[in-house]
Amino acid sequence: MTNEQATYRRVLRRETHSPRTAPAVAVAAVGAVVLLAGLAGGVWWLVDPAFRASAARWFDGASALAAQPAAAIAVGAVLVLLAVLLLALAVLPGRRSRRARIADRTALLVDDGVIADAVAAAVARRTGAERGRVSVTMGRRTVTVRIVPTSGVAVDPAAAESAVHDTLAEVGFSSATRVVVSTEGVVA
Amino acid sequence: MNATNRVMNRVLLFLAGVVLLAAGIVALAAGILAGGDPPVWTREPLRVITDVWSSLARWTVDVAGVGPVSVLLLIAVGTALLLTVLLLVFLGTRGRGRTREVLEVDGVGGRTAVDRSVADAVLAEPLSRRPDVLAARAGAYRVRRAPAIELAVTVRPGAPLGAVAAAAQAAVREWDQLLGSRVPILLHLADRGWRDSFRTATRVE
Repeated sequence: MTNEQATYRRVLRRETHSPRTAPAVAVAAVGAVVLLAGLAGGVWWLVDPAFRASAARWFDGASALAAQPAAAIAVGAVLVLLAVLLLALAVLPGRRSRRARIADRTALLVDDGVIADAVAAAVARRTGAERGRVSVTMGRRTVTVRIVPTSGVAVDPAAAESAVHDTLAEVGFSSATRVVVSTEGVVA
Repeated sequence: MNATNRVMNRVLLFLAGVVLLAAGIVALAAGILAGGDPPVWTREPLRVITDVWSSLARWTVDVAGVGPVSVLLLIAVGTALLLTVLLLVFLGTRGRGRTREVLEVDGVGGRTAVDRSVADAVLAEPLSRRPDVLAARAGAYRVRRAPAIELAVTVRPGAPLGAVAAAAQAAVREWDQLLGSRVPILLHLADRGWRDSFRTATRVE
Protein backbone atom coordinates (compact mmCIF):
# COMPACT_ATOMS: atom_id res chain seq x y z
CA MET A 1 0.00 0.00 0.00
CA THR A 2 2.15 2.85 -1.28
CA ASN A 3 -0.44 5.42 -0.24
CA GLU A 4 -0.20 4.32 3.39
CA GLN A 5 3.60 4.28 3.16
CA ALA A 6 3.61 7.84 1.87
CA THR A 7 1.35 8.90 4.75
CA TYR A 8 3.67 7.21 7.24
CA ARG A 9 6.76 8.83 5.75
CA ARG A 10 5.13 12.28 5.92
CA VAL A 11 3.88 11.80 9.49
CA LEU A 12 7.20 10.46 10.76
CA ARG A 13 9.21 13.21 9.09
CA ARG A 14 6.95 15.82 10.68
CA GLU A 15 6.86 14.19 14.10
CA THR A 16 10.65 13.91 14.32
CA HIS A 17 11.17 17.61 13.61
CA SER A 18 10.13 20.63 15.61
CA PRO A 19 7.10 22.39 14.06
CA ARG A 20 8.35 25.89 15.08
CA THR A 21 4.72 26.86 15.63
CA ALA A 22 5.24 28.30 19.12
CA PRO A 23 7.96 30.85 18.20
CA ALA A 24 6.21 31.71 14.93
CA VAL A 25 2.92 32.34 16.76
CA ALA A 26 4.72 34.46 19.37
CA VAL A 27 6.40 36.57 16.67
CA ALA A 28 3.15 36.92 14.71
CA ALA A 29 1.20 37.90 17.83
CA VAL A 30 3.76 40.53 18.85
CA GLY A 31 3.86 41.85 15.27
CA ALA A 32 0.06 42.05 15.02
CA VAL A 33 -0.22 43.84 18.39
CA VAL A 34 2.50 46.35 17.46
CA LEU A 35 0.95 47.04 14.05
CA LEU A 36 -2.56 47.41 15.50
CA ALA A 37 -1.23 49.74 18.21
CA GLY A 38 0.53 51.80 15.53
CA LEU A 39 -2.59 52.04 13.39
CA ALA A 40 -4.79 52.90 16.38
CA GLY A 41 -2.23 55.50 17.47
CA GLY A 42 -2.24 56.99 13.98
CA VAL A 43 -6.02 57.33 13.92
CA TRP A 44 -5.99 58.81 17.43
CA TRP A 45 -3.29 61.26 16.29
CA LEU A 46 -5.57 62.47 13.49
CA VAL A 47 -8.61 62.89 15.76
CA ASP A 48 -7.34 64.20 19.12
CA PRO A 49 -5.06 67.32 19.34
CA ALA A 50 -4.27 66.64 23.03
CA PHE A 51 -2.98 63.18 22.17
CA ARG A 52 -0.98 64.72 19.31
CA ALA A 53 0.81 67.05 21.75
CA SER A 54 1.60 64.33 24.32
CA ALA A 55 2.74 61.90 21.61
CA ALA A 56 5.06 64.57 20.16
CA ARG A 57 6.57 65.12 23.63
CA TRP A 58 7.09 61.37 24.01
CA PHE A 59 8.72 61.15 20.57
CA ASP A 60 11.06 64.04 21.44
CA GLY A 61 12.16 62.20 24.58
CA ALA A 62 12.64 58.94 22.67
CA SER A 63 14.67 60.54 19.90
CA ALA A 64 16.84 62.39 22.46
CA LEU A 65 17.55 59.01 24.08
CA ALA A 66 18.25 57.39 20.69
CA ALA A 67 20.70 60.16 19.85
CA GLN A 68 22.97 58.96 22.65
CA PRO A 69 25.48 56.53 21.07
CA ALA A 70 25.45 54.08 24.00
CA ALA A 71 21.65 53.68 23.88
CA ALA A 72 21.65 53.18 20.10
CA ILE A 73 24.44 50.58 20.32
CA ALA A 74 22.67 48.71 23.15
CA VAL A 75 19.36 48.62 21.25
CA GLY A 76 21.17 47.54 18.08
CA ALA A 77 22.99 44.73 19.88
CA VAL A 78 19.75 43.42 21.42
CA LEU A 79 18.00 43.53 18.03
CA VAL A 80 20.86 41.70 16.31
CA LEU A 81 20.84 39.01 19.02
CA LEU A 82 17.08 38.54 18.63
CA ALA A 83 17.49 38.42 14.85
CA VAL A 84 20.17 35.73 15.08
CA LEU A 85 17.89 33.69 17.36
CA LEU A 86 14.95 33.95 14.94
CA LEU A 87 17.13 33.16 11.89
CA ALA A 88 18.52 30.12 13.69
CA LEU A 89 14.99 28.93 14.47
CA ALA A 90 14.04 29.46 10.83
CA VAL A 91 17.03 27.66 9.31
CA LEU A 92 18.13 24.88 11.72
CA PRO A 93 16.48 21.47 11.19
CA GLY A 94 15.19 21.24 14.78
CA ARG A 95 15.34 17.49 15.19
CA ARG A 96 13.46 16.13 18.16
CA SER A 97 14.94 13.37 20.27
CA ARG A 98 12.70 10.63 18.95
CA ARG A 99 13.22 7.46 16.96
CA ALA A 100 10.92 6.49 14.13
CA ARG A 101 10.41 3.56 11.81
CA ILE A 102 7.65 2.03 9.75
CA ALA A 103 6.60 -1.30 11.25
CA ASP A 104 4.57 -3.73 9.13
CA ARG A 105 1.12 -2.39 10.03
CA THR A 106 1.73 0.86 11.89
CA ALA A 107 4.28 3.64 11.95
CA LEU A 108 6.23 3.57 15.20
CA LEU A 109 7.50 6.65 16.98
CA VAL A 110 9.34 6.32 20.29
CA ASP A 111 10.59 9.20 22.41
CA ASP A 112 14.26 8.81 23.35
CA GLY A 113 13.41 9.27 27.04
CA VAL A 114 11.18 6.19 26.95
CA ILE A 115 13.94 4.07 25.42
CA ALA A 116 16.48 5.48 27.91
CA ASP A 117 14.26 4.47 30.85
CA ALA A 118 13.78 0.96 29.43
CA VAL A 119 17.50 0.58 28.67
CA ALA A 120 18.49 1.71 32.17
CA ALA A 121 16.06 -0.75 33.76
CA ALA A 122 17.32 -3.60 31.55
CA VAL A 123 20.99 -2.81 32.23
CA ALA A 124 20.33 -2.68 35.98
CA ARG A 125 18.53 -6.03 35.83
CA ARG A 126 21.19 -7.69 33.68
CA THR A 127 24.30 -6.44 35.51
CA GLY A 128 22.97 -6.43 39.04
CA ALA A 129 23.82 -2.74 39.45
CA GLU A 130 21.38 -0.57 41.33
CA ARG A 131 18.86 1.19 39.05
CA GLY A 132 19.69 4.58 40.55
CA ARG A 133 23.37 4.15 39.62
CA VAL A 134 22.74 3.50 35.92
CA SER A 135 22.42 6.53 33.69
CA VAL A 136 21.65 6.36 29.98
CA THR A 137 22.20 9.11 27.40
CA MET A 138 20.60 8.69 24.00
CA GLY A 139 22.57 10.37 21.26
CA ARG A 140 21.44 10.38 17.66
CA ARG A 141 23.89 7.62 16.78
CA THR A 142 25.25 6.33 20.09
CA VAL A 143 23.71 5.15 23.33
CA THR A 144 25.98 5.85 26.29
CA VAL A 145 25.50 3.87 29.50
CA ARG A 146 27.27 4.96 32.67
CA ILE A 147 27.32 2.56 35.59
CA VAL A 148 28.62 3.27 39.07
CA PRO A 149 29.06 -0.20 40.58
CA THR A 150 28.76 -1.16 44.21
CA SER A 151 32.26 -1.27 45.64
CA GLY A 152 33.75 -4.73 45.36
CA VAL A 153 31.09 -6.09 42.97
CA ALA A 154 32.26 -6.52 39.38
CA VAL A 155 30.04 -5.24 36.58
CA ASP A 156 30.27 -6.94 33.18
CA PRO A 157 30.27 -4.31 30.41
CA ALA A 158 29.44 -6.95 27.80
CA ALA A 159 26.26 -7.85 29.69
CA ALA A 160 25.32 -4.17 29.79
CA GLU A 161 25.94 -3.87 26.06
CA SER A 162 23.81 -6.90 25.23
CA ALA A 163 21.04 -5.52 27.47
CA VAL A 164 21.10 -2.28 25.44
CA HIS A 165 20.94 -4.19 22.14
CA ASP A 166 18.10 -6.42 23.31
CA THR A 167 16.04 -3.50 24.60
CA LEU A 168 16.46 -1.55 21.37
CA ALA A 169 15.69 -4.64 19.30
CA GLU A 170 12.39 -5.09 21.20
CA VAL A 171 11.10 -1.98 19.40
CA GLY A 172 13.11 -2.60 16.24
CA PHE A 173 15.89 -0.05 16.56
CA SER A 174 19.64 -0.43 16.78
CA SER A 175 22.45 1.87 17.78
CA ALA A 176 26.14 1.95 18.59
CA THR A 177 26.69 1.47 22.30
CA ARG A 178 29.26 2.83 24.71
CA VAL A 179 29.41 1.42 28.22
CA VAL A 180 31.34 3.36 30.86
CA VAL A 181 31.85 1.56 34.17
CA SER A 182 33.11 3.95 36.81
CA THR A 183 36.45 2.82 38.22
CA GLU A 184 35.45 3.93 41.70
CA GLY A 185 32.48 2.13 43.15
CA VAL A 186 30.31 3.31 46.00
CA VAL A 187 29.70 1.64 49.32
CA ALA A 188 26.08 0.63 49.43
CA MET B 1 0.17 15.33 13.65
CA ASN B 2 -1.74 18.49 12.83
CA ALA B 3 -1.68 20.04 9.38
CA THR B 4 0.06 23.30 10.28
CA ASN B 5 2.05 24.63 7.33
CA ARG B 6 5.53 24.47 8.79
CA VAL B 7 7.21 26.14 5.83
CA MET B 8 5.12 29.23 6.59
CA ASN B 9 6.28 29.11 10.24
CA ARG B 10 9.89 29.16 9.12
CA VAL B 11 9.29 31.81 6.45
CA LEU B 12 7.70 34.09 9.06
CA LEU B 13 10.57 33.53 11.51
CA PHE B 14 13.09 34.18 8.71
CA LEU B 15 11.44 37.42 7.56
CA ALA B 16 11.11 38.68 11.15
CA GLY B 17 14.77 37.82 11.69
CA VAL B 18 15.85 39.71 8.57
CA VAL B 19 13.81 42.80 9.56
CA LEU B 20 15.21 42.78 13.10
CA LEU B 21 18.73 42.23 11.78
CA ALA B 22 18.43 45.23 9.45
CA ALA B 23 17.01 47.41 12.24
CA GLY B 24 19.74 46.25 14.62
CA ILE B 25 22.53 46.98 12.13
CA VAL B 26 21.08 50.45 11.42
CA ALA B 27 20.90 51.18 15.17
CA LEU B 28 24.46 49.92 15.71
CA ALA B 29 25.73 51.99 12.78
CA ALA B 30 23.94 55.08 14.04
CA GLY B 31 25.41 54.60 17.50
CA ILE B 32 28.94 54.06 16.20
CA LEU B 33 28.78 56.94 13.70
CA ALA B 34 27.34 59.37 16.28
CA GLY B 35 30.27 58.58 18.60
CA GLY B 36 32.87 60.46 16.61
CA ASP B 37 33.59 61.99 13.25
CA PRO B 38 32.13 59.61 10.63
CA PRO B 39 34.78 58.08 8.34
CA VAL B 40 35.21 59.62 4.89
CA TRP B 41 33.84 56.69 2.91
CA THR B 42 30.43 56.92 4.65
CA ARG B 43 29.81 60.53 3.54
CA GLU B 44 28.84 59.77 -0.05
CA PRO B 45 26.33 56.92 0.69
CA LEU B 46 24.86 58.91 3.61
CA ARG B 47 24.39 61.96 1.33
CA VAL B 48 22.65 59.81 -1.31
CA ILE B 49 20.34 58.26 1.30
CA THR B 50 19.47 61.71 2.71
CA ASP B 51 18.78 63.06 -0.81
CA VAL B 52 16.54 60.13 -1.78
CA TRP B 53 14.70 60.32 1.55
CA SER B 54 14.03 64.06 1.27
CA SER B 55 12.89 63.80 -2.37
CA LEU B 56 10.54 60.92 -1.43
CA ALA B 57 9.23 62.88 1.54
CA ARG B 58 8.32 65.80 -0.80
CA TRP B 59 6.32 63.41 -3.00
CA THR B 60 2.69 64.03 -2.04
CA VAL B 61 -0.76 63.45 -3.45
CA ASP B 62 -3.83 65.62 -2.90
CA VAL B 63 -6.56 63.80 -1.06
CA ALA B 64 -9.96 65.47 -1.49
CA GLY B 65 -10.96 67.30 1.69
CA VAL B 66 -7.66 66.67 3.49
CA GLY B 67 -5.04 68.35 1.35
CA PRO B 68 -1.57 67.08 0.43
CA VAL B 69 -0.64 63.75 2.03
CA SER B 70 2.79 62.14 1.82
CA VAL B 71 2.81 59.09 -0.44
CA LEU B 72 5.28 57.42 1.89
CA LEU B 73 2.76 57.72 4.73
CA LEU B 74 0.01 56.21 2.58
CA ILE B 75 2.28 53.31 1.58
CA ALA B 76 3.24 52.76 5.24
CA VAL B 77 -0.40 52.70 6.38
CA GLY B 78 -1.38 50.36 3.54
CA THR B 79 1.50 48.00 4.31
CA ALA B 80 0.66 48.02 8.02
CA LEU B 81 -3.00 47.17 7.29
CA LEU B 82 -2.06 44.39 4.87
CA LEU B 83 0.55 42.95 7.25
CA THR B 84 -1.91 43.00 10.15
CA VAL B 85 -4.48 41.07 8.13
CA LEU B 86 -1.84 38.55 6.97
CA LEU B 87 -0.58 38.03 10.52
CA LEU B 88 -4.12 37.49 11.85
CA VAL B 89 -4.78 34.97 9.05
CA PHE B 90 -1.48 33.28 9.94
CA LEU B 91 -2.47 33.07 13.61
CA GLY B 92 -5.87 31.67 12.68
CA THR B 93 -4.52 28.88 10.50
CA ARG B 94 -2.15 27.24 13.00
CA GLY B 95 -2.89 23.84 14.48
CA ARG B 96 -5.52 22.67 12.03
CA GLY B 97 -6.04 19.14 10.83
CA ARG B 98 -7.82 17.45 13.72
CA THR B 99 -10.89 15.56 12.71
CA ARG B 100 -13.72 13.79 14.50
CA GLU B 101 -14.05 10.98 11.98
CA VAL B 102 -11.56 8.18 11.56
CA LEU B 103 -13.35 6.56 8.63
CA GLU B 104 -15.76 7.84 6.01
CA VAL B 105 -17.47 5.52 3.56
CA ASP B 106 -19.77 6.85 0.89
CA GLY B 107 -22.12 4.02 0.00
CA VAL B 108 -25.23 3.76 -2.16
CA GLY B 109 -27.56 4.20 0.78
CA GLY B 110 -25.71 7.16 2.25
CA ARG B 111 -22.57 8.06 4.16
CA THR B 112 -21.09 6.10 7.06
CA ALA B 113 -18.66 7.78 9.44
CA VAL B 114 -16.79 6.24 12.37
CA ASP B 115 -16.22 8.62 15.27
CA ARG B 116 -12.87 9.16 16.99
CA SER B 117 -14.34 7.93 20.30
CA VAL B 118 -14.71 4.44 18.77
CA ALA B 119 -10.96 4.42 18.09
CA ASP B 120 -10.36 5.61 21.64
CA ALA B 121 -12.48 2.75 23.03
CA VAL B 122 -11.02 0.00 20.83
CA LEU B 123 -7.37 1.09 20.53
CA ALA B 124 -6.56 3.12 23.64
CA GLU B 125 -8.81 1.56 26.28
CA PRO B 126 -7.17 -1.92 26.42
CA LEU B 127 -3.73 -0.27 26.60
CA SER B 128 -4.56 2.16 29.38
CA ARG B 129 -5.75 -0.79 31.50
CA ARG B 130 -2.21 -2.24 31.46
CA PRO B 131 -0.24 -1.68 34.68
CA ASP B 132 2.87 -0.53 32.79
CA VAL B 133 0.97 2.18 30.90
CA LEU B 134 0.22 5.56 32.46
CA ALA B 135 -2.15 6.81 29.78
CA ALA B 136 -3.25 6.03 26.25
CA ARG B 137 -5.35 8.06 23.87
CA ALA B 138 -6.28 7.95 20.22
CA GLY B 139 -6.46 11.14 18.16
CA ALA B 140 -7.63 11.51 14.58
CA TYR B 141 -6.07 13.83 12.02
CA ARG B 142 -6.38 14.34 8.31
CA VAL B 143 -3.10 13.51 6.57
CA ARG B 144 -2.89 13.65 2.77
CA ARG B 145 -6.67 14.21 2.60
CA ALA B 146 -7.48 10.96 4.45
CA PRO B 147 -7.97 10.25 8.16
CA ALA B 148 -5.06 8.84 10.15
CA ILE B 149 -4.93 7.84 13.82
CA GLU B 150 -2.30 8.72 16.38
CA LEU B 151 -2.24 6.18 19.21
CA ALA B 152 -0.19 7.92 21.90
CA VAL B 153 0.85 5.69 24.79
CA THR B 154 2.61 7.14 27.85
CA VAL B 155 4.47 4.26 29.47
CA ARG B 156 5.75 3.96 33.01
CA PRO B 157 9.53 4.37 33.34
CA GLY B 158 11.29 1.10 32.59
CA ALA B 159 8.21 -0.63 31.17
CA PRO B 160 8.95 -3.53 28.79
CA LEU B 161 8.58 -1.75 25.47
CA GLY B 162 8.28 -4.93 23.45
CA ALA B 163 5.28 -6.07 25.51
CA VAL B 164 3.59 -2.66 25.21
CA ALA B 165 4.21 -2.57 21.45
CA ALA B 166 2.86 -6.12 21.09
CA ALA B 167 -0.27 -5.20 23.06
CA ALA B 168 -0.72 -2.17 20.79
CA GLN B 169 -0.35 -4.35 17.69
CA ALA B 170 -3.00 -6.73 19.10
CA ALA B 171 -5.34 -3.78 19.64
CA VAL B 172 -4.65 -2.62 16.07
CA ARG B 173 -5.48 -6.10 14.72
CA GLU B 174 -8.78 -6.02 16.62
CA TRP B 175 -9.47 -2.55 15.24
CA ASP B 176 -8.76 -3.71 11.67
CA GLN B 177 -11.14 -6.64 12.06
CA LEU B 178 -13.83 -4.39 13.51
CA LEU B 179 -13.47 -1.77 10.80
CA GLY B 180 -12.79 -4.01 7.80
CA SER B 181 -10.60 -1.35 6.27
CA ARG B 182 -7.07 -0.10 6.89
CA VAL B 183 -6.63 3.33 8.43
CA PRO B 184 -3.01 4.51 8.84
CA ILE B 185 -2.03 4.34 12.52
CA LEU B 186 0.94 5.98 14.22
CA LEU B 187 1.92 4.26 17.46
CA HIS B 188 3.71 6.81 19.63
CA LEU B 189 5.43 5.63 22.81
CA ALA B 190 5.61 8.99 24.51
CA ASP B 191 7.68 10.48 27.29
CA ARG B 192 5.96 11.51 30.45
CA GLY B 193 4.90 15.14 30.39
CA TRP B 194 5.48 17.39 33.38
CA ARG B 195 2.07 16.43 34.79
CA ASP B 196 2.98 12.74 34.84
CA SER B 197 5.98 13.43 37.04
CA PHE B 198 3.53 13.81 39.94
CA ARG B 199 2.43 10.22 39.51
CA THR B 200 4.16 7.34 41.23
CA ALA B 201 6.84 5.53 39.27
CA THR B 202 5.42 2.09 39.94
CA ARG B 203 1.95 0.73 40.40
CA VAL B 204 1.22 -2.12 42.76
CA GLU B 205 -1.45 -4.48 41.52
